[in-house]
Amino acid sequence: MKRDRMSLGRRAFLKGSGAMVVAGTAGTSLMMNNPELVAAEAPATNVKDVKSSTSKTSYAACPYCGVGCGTIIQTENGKITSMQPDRDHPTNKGLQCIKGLTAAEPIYVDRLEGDCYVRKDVWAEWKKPGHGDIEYVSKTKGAFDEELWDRVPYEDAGNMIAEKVAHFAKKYSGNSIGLYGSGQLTLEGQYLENLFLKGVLGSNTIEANARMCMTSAVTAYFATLGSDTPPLCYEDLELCDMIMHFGHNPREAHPIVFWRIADHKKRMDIPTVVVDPRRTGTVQGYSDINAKNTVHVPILNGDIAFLNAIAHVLLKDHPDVIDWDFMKENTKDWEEYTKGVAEKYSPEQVQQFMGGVNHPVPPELIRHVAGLFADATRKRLARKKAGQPEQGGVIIMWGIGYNQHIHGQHNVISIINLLSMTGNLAKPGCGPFSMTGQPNAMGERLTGGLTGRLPFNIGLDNEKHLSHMAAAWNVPEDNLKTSAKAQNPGFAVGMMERAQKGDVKAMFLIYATHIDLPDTHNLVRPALNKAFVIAQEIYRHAPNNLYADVILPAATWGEVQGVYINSERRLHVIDKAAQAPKGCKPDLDMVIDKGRHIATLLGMDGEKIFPWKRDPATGEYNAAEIFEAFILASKGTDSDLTGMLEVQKKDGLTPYDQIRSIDGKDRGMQWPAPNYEIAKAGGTKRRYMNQEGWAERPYGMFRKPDGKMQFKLCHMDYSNRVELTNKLMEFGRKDGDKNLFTIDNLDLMKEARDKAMTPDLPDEDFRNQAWHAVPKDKYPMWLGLGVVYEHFHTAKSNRSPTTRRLVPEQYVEMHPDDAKEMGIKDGDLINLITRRGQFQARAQVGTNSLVKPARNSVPRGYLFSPWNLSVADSADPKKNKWLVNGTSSRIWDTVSGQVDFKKLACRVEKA
Amino acid sequence: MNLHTPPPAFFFLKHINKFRWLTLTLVFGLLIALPYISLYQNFRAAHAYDFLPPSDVRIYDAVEWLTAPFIHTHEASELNAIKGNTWSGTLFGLKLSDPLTLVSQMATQLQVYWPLILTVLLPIGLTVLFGRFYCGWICPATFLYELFDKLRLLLLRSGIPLGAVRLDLRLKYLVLAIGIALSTALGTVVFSAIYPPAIIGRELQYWITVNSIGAGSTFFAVTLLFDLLVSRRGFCRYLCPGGALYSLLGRYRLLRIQRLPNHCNDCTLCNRECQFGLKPMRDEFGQECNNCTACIAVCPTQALTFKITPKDQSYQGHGHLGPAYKRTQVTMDKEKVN
Amino acid sequence: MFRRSFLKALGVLVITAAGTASPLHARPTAEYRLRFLRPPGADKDDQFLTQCIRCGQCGQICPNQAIRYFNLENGLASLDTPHIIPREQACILCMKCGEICPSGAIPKIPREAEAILTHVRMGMAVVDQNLCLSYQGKTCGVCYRACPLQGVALKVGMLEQPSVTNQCVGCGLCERSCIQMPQAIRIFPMRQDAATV
Repeated sequence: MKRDRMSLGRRAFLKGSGAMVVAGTAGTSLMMNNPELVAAEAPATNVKDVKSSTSKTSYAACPYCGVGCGTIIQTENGKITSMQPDRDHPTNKGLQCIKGLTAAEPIYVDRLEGDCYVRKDVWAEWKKPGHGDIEYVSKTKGAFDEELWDRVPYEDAGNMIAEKVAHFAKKYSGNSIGLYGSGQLTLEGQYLENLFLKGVLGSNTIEANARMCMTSAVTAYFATLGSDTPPLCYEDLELCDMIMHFGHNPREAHPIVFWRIADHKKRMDIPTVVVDPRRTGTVQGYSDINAKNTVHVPILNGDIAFLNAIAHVLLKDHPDVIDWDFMKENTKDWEEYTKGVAEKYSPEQVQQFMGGVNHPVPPELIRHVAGLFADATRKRLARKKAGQPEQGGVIIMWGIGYNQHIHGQHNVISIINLLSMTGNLAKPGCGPFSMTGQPNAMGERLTGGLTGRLPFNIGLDNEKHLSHMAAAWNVPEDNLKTSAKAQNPGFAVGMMERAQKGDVKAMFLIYATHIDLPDTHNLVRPALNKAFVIAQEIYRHAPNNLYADVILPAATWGEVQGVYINSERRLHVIDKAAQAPKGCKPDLDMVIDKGRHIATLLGMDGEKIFPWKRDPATGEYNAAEIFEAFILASKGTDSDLTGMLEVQKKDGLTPYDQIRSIDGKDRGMQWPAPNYEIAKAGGTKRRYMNQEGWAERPYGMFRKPDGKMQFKLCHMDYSNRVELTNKLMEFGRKDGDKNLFTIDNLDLMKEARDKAMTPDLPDEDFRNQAWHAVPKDKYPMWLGLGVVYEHFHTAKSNRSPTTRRLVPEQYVEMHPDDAKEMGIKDGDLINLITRRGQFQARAQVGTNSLVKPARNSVPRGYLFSPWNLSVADSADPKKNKWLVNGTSSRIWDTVSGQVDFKKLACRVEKA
Repeated sequence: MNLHTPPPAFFFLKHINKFRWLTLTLVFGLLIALPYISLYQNFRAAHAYDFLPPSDVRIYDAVEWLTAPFIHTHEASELNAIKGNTWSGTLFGLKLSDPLTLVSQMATQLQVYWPLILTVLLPIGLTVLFGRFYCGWICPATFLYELFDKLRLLLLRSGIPLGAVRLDLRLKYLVLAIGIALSTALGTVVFSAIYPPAIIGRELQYWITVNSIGAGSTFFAVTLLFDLLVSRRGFCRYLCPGGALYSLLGRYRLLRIQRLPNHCNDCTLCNRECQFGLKPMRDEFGQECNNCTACIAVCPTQALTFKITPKDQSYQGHGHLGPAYKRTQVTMDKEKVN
Repeated sequence: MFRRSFLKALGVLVITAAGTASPLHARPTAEYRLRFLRPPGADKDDQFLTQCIRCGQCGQICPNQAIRYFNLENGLASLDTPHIIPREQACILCMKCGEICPSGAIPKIPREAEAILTHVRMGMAVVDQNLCLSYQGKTCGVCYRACPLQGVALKVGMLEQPSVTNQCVGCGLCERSCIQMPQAIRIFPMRQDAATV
C-alpha cells in the first residue's frame, strides 16, 4: 500500500517536472506530503517495472542539433515521458547529450492548445460586412495578453488567412507574401511550404532559419563542389589523421561528435587544431587527452588569411603533399589560387596586415599548424604507397561560428581550397565537414526552401529543372517562372527590410522564432508590426505570438511523422509518438489546407496540386504519401532517392521502413540512393570522384557542369577598413536613419564581403578604462554571440527544468584582466550596449567564476554571451532584458545572405 | 471642590488607541506581505514569470507594483531589508528578536550567544521603559485576540453563556519557569511552539509560501477557544510565557497610566474595557498593564493619563466627580460646619 | 541520553494528542525515516536544535525556496526547524541564510569557495552506478554540470561518469538535477543522527 503511494507520488513528481522550474512553488503541500521525505528504501530494481501496459516506444532523431542522434521516445498513457538513446544507431551508438536526454521535459510546458488565436481588432475588422479593410493589420502588436485575442475555430481562421493572402497575391504579387520556415520542420513540411510559396503563389520570398546558420556553407559548397552537402560521413572521423575545427566548439554544440573525435584522438593520438578566439572546452578536452598535439589558434576574423598562409607554407615548405595530378585533372582555376597564396600570403605578410607583432597568430604558429597538416596528409599518401586503401588525412570541420561572418562563404571556400590542393578531398577520412545547427537544416537545404532555390540542390534559374518541378508539383510552370523573376534581395534580412518598406504584406512564421534574426528592435520587430503575420506556434509565451495577427497552435516533434536529415545526409524517420494536445495541428496539415484553399482562390486546381486525403483514423494527412511524392520528384537529380521505390517494389518495404531499417542495416539512409543496390546498402556514404558507386549519375567527378572542382582565391584586405566599416555601422543605429536599408546598398555589402570586413569596429583607444570613464558613444570591446551546451536555441531547452537549472541566467564571459580594468567583479550584473541595442547579463570573469557555466576563456578585449537564453527571462518585452539579438548587426553577404553575429562592438555598463 | 484641580488629560491621549490599532494592523499586514514578497523574489530569481499559473501571476504583478517604488536595482535584493516576523526579524540591517528567544536559547544551550543578545537589547530596553507595550502594540496575536474578544462580547450580548474563570495571574510565571526547565531538559526550544506571536508569523509564512499549515495553527486555535470558552483573554493573562517575561521586565517601567481622581466619575467603564482584567479605577495597573490605552480611550472624563514614574499610585480613593466621593465630601462639609 | 528518551516519551504523548486534535496531523510519525539536510553550515543536529529559535527567516530569504520547515513528521524536537530536501530544491550555497540567522544555528559563512569547503558539510553525495546513466553508457553529466564545485567536489571521467570526492559539501544540486528517476546520485546527510538513516 505504502509502496504504491510512493511510486505514484514519484511518477506524478516526474510528470510535474515542468512546474519544478517555478521553484516548487506551484502550491502543493510539499512540506507535509512529500514522498522524498522517506529515504528510498531500495532503489527501484529497474526502470522497466515502471512501464505500464500503455507505454510505447518510437524511434526518432533527436529534435536538437544537426548531429542527428538516434533517440527512442517513451510514451506513457498517450504522453511523451522520456527519451532513451538508441544503442543501435550508427551516429550516437547509445550516447546522447543532456539536451537530447531531457528532450521530453519541455513538450507539455506552456503549450498553446485549442482554437486558433486571432487578434480582437483583426477579427472585428474581418467580421465587418465585406470583411472591412481586408489589408487590416492589428494595432495591438507587441503584447500577448489573453484579452487581446479572440479564440476562433481552425476552419474560420483558415478561411480568413486564405482570403487575405489570396487578396495580397492578386493585388500586389505573390512575392508580397513571405515565409520564414525552419530547419526543425519535417522534410515533408518543408517540401510543401516551398511548393506553396513558389508553385502556388509564385513568390520568391521564402526564407528559413538555415539562412542565419548554414548558408555560407551552402553557397560555398555550390561554388566549389556544385552540390550542397558535406561529401563525407561521420565514419570518416574515425579514419582521419588530423582534425581541424574552425569556429566550432563541438564539446558544447555537437557533443556526440566531440566524444567520437576525442575517442579517436585517445586511440590514435591524432593532432587537433581548434581555431577560435576563445579557448573553449573543446580545446581543454583535447589538451586533457594530449596537450602536445593540441593546438589552439586564437583568431578573430582572420581565417581566410590563416588558411591561405597554411597553403603558402605547404607550397613552399612541404611540396610533397600538394596533389598536382588531382588539381590538373579534376579542378579549375587552381593556378590562380596557388599563385595567389604564394605571392600574397606568407605568414609574415599575414602577420603584417593582420595587426603586426601584436597579432595573436604569429608566423611560427602558422608554420607549426601547416607542419601538422602536411604530416597528416603524408600518412594518407604513405598508405597509398604501401598499397593499402587510400584513406585518412585531414578533416576540417566548421560550425555556425565560422559561417556567421559576412564573408562566411569565403571562409568556407578557403577551407575547401586548401583541402583540394592537398588532395584531402573525396577520399575516406578527409574533407570538409560542415556541422549544422538545426536537426533538419539539411532537409531545408535539400528541399530548397530558400530564396532562389528549387528542391534537390538546383537553383530556380535552371529552366530544365524548373519544368521538372512544375510537373512534379502539378503547378503551372508560369508560377515558378514568376517566382524565378521575383526578387528577394537581402534574403531573410531583405525580407524584413522589404516588409518595413511595405513590399511584403503578409508573413508566415513557421516553427521558427523571429528572435534568431539580427537587430530585433530596428529591423525585425518594426517589420512584423507592418505585415500581416501568421504564426504557427507551440508555446504560449513564444516571442512570435507578440507580433502575430493569427496564431495557429501547432504540433511539435514527437507528435508528427516525418523525415529529418542530419549533417551527414542521413535521413531519419521521426515517428509520431503521441497525439498532439487538442487543437494542435501538424505543420504539414496546415500547409496542405491553406495551400489548397489559396490555390483554389487563385484559380488553380487546389485538389490536383495537393491531392492528399486525410487519414480517417487520425484526421491528419499521411506524411508517407508526401515523402513518396518527394522521392518521385528526386528522379534524375544528384540527390536521387528513387532506389527506395525499387526496394519497395522488390522487397515490399515502404520507404519509411527502409529508413527505420527494420531489415537490420544501420538506421537511416544517406542520400543519394538512386538504385536498388545503393538504397539496399543504406545510401551513399561518400560523394564525388566515383565514391558513390553510381554509374549513371547526372554529373562528372564533381557536380559542377564540367565535373570539375572550382578553386576560388579569397582575400582579406584591411586597407580601407575603418572607412568601410564606418559605413556598415550606420545600419540599424539607434539614433540613425530609419530609412537606411541594406538592400539599397548592395555594392557596399559586396565590397565588405570581398575584403573580409567585420560589421562593427570597436573603439580600441577606450579599452583598458574603467567602465564609467568610457564616453557614451564609444564601444571599446568586441562582443561575440553563440551557444551554450545546456541549451538549444531559445524555445525548448529553456522550458526544460533540468537544462534550465544548469544554466539559469544570461551571462557574459570576460577576461579577468579586462574585468579588473573595467572595475567589474565576478557576478556583477552588467549591460552590454552596442550601437543598436542592449541586453543585460551577469559577468562571468575567467573560468574560476561562480557564475555558471564558466568553461571557456575569452581573449583580452573580447566578450562572449550565449543567445540561447534570449527569452528565458520572459517573452514579455517589458520584462525581458536578455534579448541578445537586439544588439546584433544586420550586415549580410550578398550571395549567402549570412549575417555576422560574432563581432560586434560593445560597451559595458554596470546595471 | 478642590481648587487645585490638575488639568484634564491631554485630549490627544484619547486617540492613541486608534494609533495602536493602526500599528497592530500594520504589523499584521507586514506579516502577511513578507511571505508574498519572499515568493515574488523566488519567482523573480527563477525568471519564472512565463510559467506561472494565473494565480501566481497575479501575486507577481501585485507585489511588483507595490514594491516598485522601493527597488532601484534589477535584482529585487533590496527587498531583503525586511525579513522575518515578530519573533525575530531584520529591519534594514537591524536585527531584532523577542527577549524570549534569548531566554529559550540560554536555557537550551546553557551558554550565551552574544549576537543574539545584541538583537534583544533594544526590545528589552524599551520594555524596561514602557512595560509590556509589546503585548498591546505589536504582538500579532493580540491583534487577533482583541478582534476575537469583540466576537466574544457579541456572543455574550446575544445571551450565550461563556465562561469567565478567573485564575491566578501568576500562572504564566509558572509556565515560563516550566518552559525554561523543559527547554533545558529537552535541549530544544519549547517556547517557539507555544508562544502565539512566534506561531502566527511562521504559520502565515507556511500558508502563503507552501499552502500548508503546521502544528502551531492547532495550538493557536486552542488558545482562541480557551479565550472564548474559559476566560476572557485568558491566554495572555494567565498562560503566555512571553507576557510573563515582559511583565517581569516591565515591572519598574517609567511610563505608566495613572488615574486623575479629580476627573474620575467612578463610571467603571475602564474596568470593564480592560481586557486584562485590571482595574484602572482602583489604580490597579501593576506589571500586567501593557499601556494599550484602551481605558484612556473609553474614559468619558479624561481622567486617565500617562505619567513618567517608576511606581503606580496606591489607591487614590473615589473619583471626585463620582457620587461616592461627593457623599464623603458632603459628610466632610457637614463635619466642618459642625 | 536522558534528553532523548524523555523527549520521545513526551513526543509520543503530544503527537497522539495533536493527532487526535487535528486531522492535518493524523499521520503517525514513527515509521518515517527521513532523509533531509540542514541549512549550510549547521552544526550536528543536537547542537542545531538547541540553537535554532525557529524564527523562519532563513526560509524567507532563501532565494531558491530550498529551506522548508518541519511539522511534526520528524518528531516534536524538530517542529518548525528548517531543512532542505535536495530532490525538491537544493541549496545553491548563496549563504544568505547564515547572514540573516540571528541565533547562530546557521553560522555566517562568506560566499567563497574556500570558506564553503571548510565550513559547510551538509551531507555527501553518493552515486549509484546501477542507476547512473553515464555508467550505463549514456553520457549524461548533468550532476557534474550542476555541481557548484565542479572538479573539486565532483569529477567526471570518460563518458561523463561522475565520482564524488570527499570535498563534497552536500548541497544537493546534483541530486536535484539528476534526470534519472529514482535519482542515481543522492546526498546522504552528515548530521549526527544520520547514522540511523
